[in-house]
Amino acid sequence: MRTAFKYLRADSVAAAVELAAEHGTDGHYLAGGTDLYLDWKNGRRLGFAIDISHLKDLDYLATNDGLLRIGTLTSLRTLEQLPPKDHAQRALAALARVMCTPQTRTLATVGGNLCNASAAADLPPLLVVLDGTATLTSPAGTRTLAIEEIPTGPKRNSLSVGELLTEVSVSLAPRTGTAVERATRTALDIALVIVAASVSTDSAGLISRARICLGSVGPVLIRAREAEAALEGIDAAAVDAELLEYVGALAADSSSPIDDVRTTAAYRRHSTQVLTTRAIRSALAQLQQDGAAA
Amino acid sequence: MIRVTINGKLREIEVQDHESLADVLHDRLNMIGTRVSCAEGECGCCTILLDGEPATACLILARQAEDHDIQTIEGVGSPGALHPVQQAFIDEHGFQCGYCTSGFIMSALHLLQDNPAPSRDEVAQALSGNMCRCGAYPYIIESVMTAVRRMSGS
Repeated sequence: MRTAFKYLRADSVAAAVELAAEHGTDGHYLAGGTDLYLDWKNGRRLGFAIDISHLKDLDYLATNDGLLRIGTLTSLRTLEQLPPKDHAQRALAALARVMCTPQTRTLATVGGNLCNASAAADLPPLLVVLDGTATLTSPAGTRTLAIEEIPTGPKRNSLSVGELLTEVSVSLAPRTGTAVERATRTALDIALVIVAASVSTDSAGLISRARICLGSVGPVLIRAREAEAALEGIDAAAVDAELLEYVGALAADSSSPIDDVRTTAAYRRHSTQVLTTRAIRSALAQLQQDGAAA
Repeated sequence: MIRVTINGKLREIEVQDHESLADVLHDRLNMIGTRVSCAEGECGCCTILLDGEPATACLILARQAEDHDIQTIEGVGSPGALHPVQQAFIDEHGFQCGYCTSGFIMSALHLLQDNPAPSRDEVAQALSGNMCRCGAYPYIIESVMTAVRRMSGS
């Protein structure tokens, strides 16, 4: 059963958060609409749809102080067209190009992909390994949260009522390689398993920072911290197949997948190991290429 | 009431809060080339260009289209002077039932705006958000390749 909702257009961030505060749990921010409007068509009650899609000042990309700042309304289309200037923009563009369909990429936004908090969302694992943070705005002011703290369960997020996610910011750490691997049943399907890895080295070539984040293998994003620790301090040039397999197995141990209509927990666990191995290998290969080019 | 530019013409349209742009185009404006099949943003039949970018009109609230520029299949060619992409779909049998065709053509036009000489793979990727239940895919891709050859004069 579809119940009518009231459409409210916000023409400023201040107006949007005021409207949201006024309508409480009945208010829902509407950006690209590819999740929210679809959910309504499938019977979700909306109450008030607070349209933020006209807030052009939330659609931007800027680099400064070693950070890439991404406005919440940045579309997946914009991400897929990012120039390959650094490891973060390369990884974001490569991932955006394989997400959903060209038509959905026009509409879907970075903030929406995060706040919708699907356990199978594609962007969050990558944003986590890029040490991403989110800026949340409310009538009371702003606060910053790490990306991994945003989803709190399938389709649940940690934003307070009325809070608007206005910006995502990721780190452009030097000497870093970053890659995402995902398993899907068909090209347009949502991910069965998604693994993002980011590896940085110090000037001597030792791995100084390793980040591995797993998506679609648990109710929330999972940092594979033991797998990360197993890489740190190792000479990047000395990472061999045996170590990669071990790190992949540690990542698989961190996962807590379920059986569902798409695939089995066993397949997801196995894929976590394989995809972790591939993502790290790909991140290291990029580091080596960039080193050779420098 | 919303104000939206459709195929170059500024329109003022009475809409309801929950109505999709696809339903408004099809049912209120009688622009029946924008077809709704899945109504879930999967099939691409209702593809229009939103400020020049392809989008499924079934997932756009009509109210969100306010102040935007919309192009539909009705703005492409005319019965006496088809766009080369439209003519190529006829010549290469790029459809059987024809229900999905306008969506495919809108996606193809977007590709050719940015890339007038695409490879077959690039065509297939650009059309990956459009489904043809008759399975005419090879003919559809051939239609676009034929249009590319004709438009480049080779």
